[in-house]
Amino acid sequence: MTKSAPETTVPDTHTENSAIEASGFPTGRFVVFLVLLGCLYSPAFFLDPFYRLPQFNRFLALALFALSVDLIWGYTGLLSLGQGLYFGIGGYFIAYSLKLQKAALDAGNPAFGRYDWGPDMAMTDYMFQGQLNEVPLLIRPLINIYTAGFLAVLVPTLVATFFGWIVFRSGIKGVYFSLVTQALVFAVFTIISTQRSYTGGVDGQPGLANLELFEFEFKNYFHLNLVIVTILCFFALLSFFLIQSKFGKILTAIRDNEFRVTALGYDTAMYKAFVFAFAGLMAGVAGALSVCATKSAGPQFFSIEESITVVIFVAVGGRGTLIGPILGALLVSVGQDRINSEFTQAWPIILGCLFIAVVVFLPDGIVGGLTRAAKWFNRPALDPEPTPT
Amino acid sequence: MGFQSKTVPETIIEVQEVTVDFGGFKAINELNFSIERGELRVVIGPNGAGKTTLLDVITGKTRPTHGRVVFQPDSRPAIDVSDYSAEQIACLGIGRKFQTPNVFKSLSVLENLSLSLKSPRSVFWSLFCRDSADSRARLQEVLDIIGLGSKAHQNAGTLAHGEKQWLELGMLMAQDPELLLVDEPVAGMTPRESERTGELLLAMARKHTLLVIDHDMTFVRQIASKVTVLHEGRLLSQGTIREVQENPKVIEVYLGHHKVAKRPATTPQHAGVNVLVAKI
Repeated sequence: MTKSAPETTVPDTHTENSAIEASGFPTGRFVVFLVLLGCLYSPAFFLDPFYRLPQFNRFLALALFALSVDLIWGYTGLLSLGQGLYFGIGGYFIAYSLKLQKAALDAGNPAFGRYDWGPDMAMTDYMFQGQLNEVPLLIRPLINIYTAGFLAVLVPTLVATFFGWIVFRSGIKGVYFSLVTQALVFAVFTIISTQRSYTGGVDGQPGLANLELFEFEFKNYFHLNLVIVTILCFFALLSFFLIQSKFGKILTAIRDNEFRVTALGYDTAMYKAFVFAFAGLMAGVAGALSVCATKSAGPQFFSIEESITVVIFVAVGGRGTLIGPILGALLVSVGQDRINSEFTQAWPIILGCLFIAVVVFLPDGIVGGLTRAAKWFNRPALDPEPTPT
Repeated sequence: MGFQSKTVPETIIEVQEVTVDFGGFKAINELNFSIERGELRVVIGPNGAGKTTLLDVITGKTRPTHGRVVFQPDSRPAIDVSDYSAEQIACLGIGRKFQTPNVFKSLSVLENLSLSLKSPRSVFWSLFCRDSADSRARLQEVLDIIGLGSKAHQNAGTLAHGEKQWLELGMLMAQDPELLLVDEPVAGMTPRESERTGELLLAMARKHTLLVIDHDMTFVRQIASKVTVLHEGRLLSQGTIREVQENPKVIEVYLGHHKVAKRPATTPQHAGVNVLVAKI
């Protein structure tokens, strides 16, 4: 008697086909996801182009930031309370570039073009105030937006890889992981806000030049919006494929039961370090885009509030879904803006209450709640017979 | 039944002089123990005999205080695995089913099996691989054996207790390890489920070497060809189930428990001991 002999009947062959087909690519969900992402292009056509649109651009950058937190928290179960570190690093590279460009443009030295750098390049205002004699050597090349852009992607990824490697190798998990990430971001916050002559200190780097790429200056927020939405969509789609791959399933498995994944022979530290690095990359890009959108950067990027706010975006929108963090970031940011304009100071209280409300009443966030509601309405159609065991 | 090795009987795992000391309490005490390739071995013993600790040591979850664990993979030199990490040992070909169901509850049955399939374990591979026709056929085969074909796309978290246990056995089959360690597969099962589980294990024993831990004597009788009895971290007796039951030392150990247990009488635990003693 062979193993499968008693089971090989016609209905089983049928099961096989259906099992394999349905286990493939979820086309339906992908189409819905594409349509929803496509909708992100539309607000640019009706929002006020001088006030609302730049704001919306910033919210989109925050959405990308939230997506990065969702990958590590929602899918892998690693609650990072210091993701602002990577966001801030990415943002500051771009901010240096645009700030130096601004200084060069203001100085109007004809010998120096917008991207030229050397010992007598124009210093930024905070460097003057900090009584530096010249632009520090390491900061000089950042005036080139391509160098800065490249580093804004590379450095957060490398820092996240290095940090993730050490933390996951040494088996730091759960709340200890959250605390370590938070401690790290706080340390960087302290450095950034005290080294005023190098970083702009607590005032950060306001009043940046417009982004200029390939001789095209983004004077108009509409064009910048197209770039930001496209980059957000690119990363959202990349995340979608990542989650659909075996890698994505392993991440979910790690969240469910890490020890069991180890027992299957997977090196979970490698998987966690990889996804943490990828999230660091996304956060770095998000920071860079946010700086382009607001034309300012500040040490608040590295503040603990920033990192926690983005976790709340994910919780509100729905962790473990890809549309959830985007939705959460947009809705909560819009809410924050509206409430701040009516009652200043009230926002942190409202945010805290919102977080508690979501945890108690909507543990899977808005998207999870909607999914459950949809299931509930479709109940008679979907209801399988009770399991007989 | 179990002996089906193609060549001369060969030791697949050998536990040599292993002691596990939990701060003075010796869960395993200078234990020597080995299994031959192709065997289905059942390990029994009273509570605290060190059965689960033995599995922990073999799978690298617990490091032995003294002694060596030598694993002999097919067509490779023998390896002392006592200082290997859990995932390295798993990759060498030792799979384990835990006492409580340990499935990934937010993945579907099929995904649970698919992650367990024998395949490369690297990050790079997991990003770009697609299940081949072979592996899909293998998944279907496993689904058929464990009888969960109709629930392939259900989340594993929604399965009944017995089904979760079968799914986990299925995951072990998909993993296709050389040595399979199974910890109390029928705990909390109805007699029918338990019988079905026995059939599953016997089916698995045709291809793999199995080490099963259990208390349930009906179940042990159903599957066992060779039984090892542990007591207080030591090997007490070993042989066919009949030999073991007739061994005076085994009777002594279980009778000793029986005497202590006599006054509070009929809690389920003691009832189990009574049944065992009656069978002996």
